Amino acid sequence: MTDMSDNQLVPGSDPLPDGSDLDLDFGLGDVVEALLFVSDGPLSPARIAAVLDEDEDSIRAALTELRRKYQRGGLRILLHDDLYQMATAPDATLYCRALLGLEPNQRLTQASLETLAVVAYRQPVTRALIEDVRGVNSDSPLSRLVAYGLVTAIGKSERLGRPMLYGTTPGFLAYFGVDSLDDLPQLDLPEFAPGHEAVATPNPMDTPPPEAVEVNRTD
Amino acid sequence: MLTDWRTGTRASALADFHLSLTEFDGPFDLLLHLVEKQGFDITSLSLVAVTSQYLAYIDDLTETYTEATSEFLAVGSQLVLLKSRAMLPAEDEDEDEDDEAARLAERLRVYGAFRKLAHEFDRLQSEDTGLFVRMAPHGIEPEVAPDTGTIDELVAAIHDMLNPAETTRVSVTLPTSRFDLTERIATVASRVRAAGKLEFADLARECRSRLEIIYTLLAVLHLVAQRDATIRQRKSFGTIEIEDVADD
Repeated sequence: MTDMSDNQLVPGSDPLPDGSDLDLDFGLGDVVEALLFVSDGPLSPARIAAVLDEDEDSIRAALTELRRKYQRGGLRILLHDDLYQMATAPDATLYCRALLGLEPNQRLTQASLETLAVVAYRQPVTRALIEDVRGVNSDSPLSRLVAYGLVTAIGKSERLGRPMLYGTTPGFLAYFGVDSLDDLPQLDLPEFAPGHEAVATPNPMDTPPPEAVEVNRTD
Repeated sequence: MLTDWRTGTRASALADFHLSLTEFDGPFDLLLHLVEKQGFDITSLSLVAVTSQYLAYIDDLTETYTEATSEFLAVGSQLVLLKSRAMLPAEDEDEDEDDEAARLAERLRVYGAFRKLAHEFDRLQSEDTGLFVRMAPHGIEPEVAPDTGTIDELVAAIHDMLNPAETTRVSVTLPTSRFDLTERIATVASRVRAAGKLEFADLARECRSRLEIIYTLLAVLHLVAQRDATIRQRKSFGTIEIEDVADD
């Protein structure tokens, strides 16, 4: 982080009133860290850039560095769909719950988990696509996932009837105790990637590279 | 592999382990279960091989209603069609039929991959390592629903309503049985009829106790329920106007 903390004009880097320059080591990454700490929801690099009046690339670099820094310790930085959020580490879950007086989550049913898997790896998806994959009506598991905050409506399809499109939320990562989509189990279907519309007859001929299975990322 | 259905594995397959149809999350879940139990790969041929077992399961449909009834039946009929074609000697290769079987196998393969993921998810959630994120900041005031007025207005309205009665309360010594709701309704009805229109405050002012005001209010509500009168209040806790509904 030292390389990017140089030459950055950020609060606290001004010389102290007595003329000393003790805060020289306080850099952009530290400010971004503080913003993630106080924020009560996920932050986008664009939002952070706007607040700090910095360019997005520097912010992204700082966020990447921070995520590396937070690979150990009591906190993690979640990354979901270009949104960053500070969260507790998986090994701290039991103790956090004890402090907060919370009961363990009720486990999701197979129907809900299948629905969630389709949404996560094929987003943005319509309800019809979920039902096509599962071969069964998926209304109630889908609305349960929305109610739990694991899935949310993220727009409307341009197709006939303009059906609602669904995607996962940062809470989805948090639920499974992982801090990025990369840490989730991989879908055992290399031909599937975002943008594939026809589920019933996927064409093995236009198989994208396996890494393209990663969902809905803009960076 | 084909001998499996020709010799009728139904009885033996069900004897060792019979899950109810309600245990399955849809027809693909059941179909995949049957194919995997036989140790088959997912091919059109193996679908045909488990058709009898599949049909044995959906016999349950007559006893157990599941929400997915129609989906189970739809896949069942598709299997029967595929099986009947497979049993008939093929006179010439019909590509459409092959495609249909291949499509179903392909859908099952896709579903299988997602079901496997769902199992992975289940393992993850059982580890109970869900992360905690910050909650919304505290100090947010709940919003007061519009048009309910303020608490001061409510207190003032109650005060205005009760005050005339309060001033005379000391003189009230009559037992509560003095008030008869039927009688009160008759009185209020005749007052409203005679006046055509009056305010609730007018009636309340004549009351000698809170109880009498309450009886009067009940009487007015009764008249409204009977459609003998209408009431209107132009603003929260404001004057209540009572109007007679003229009989035709």
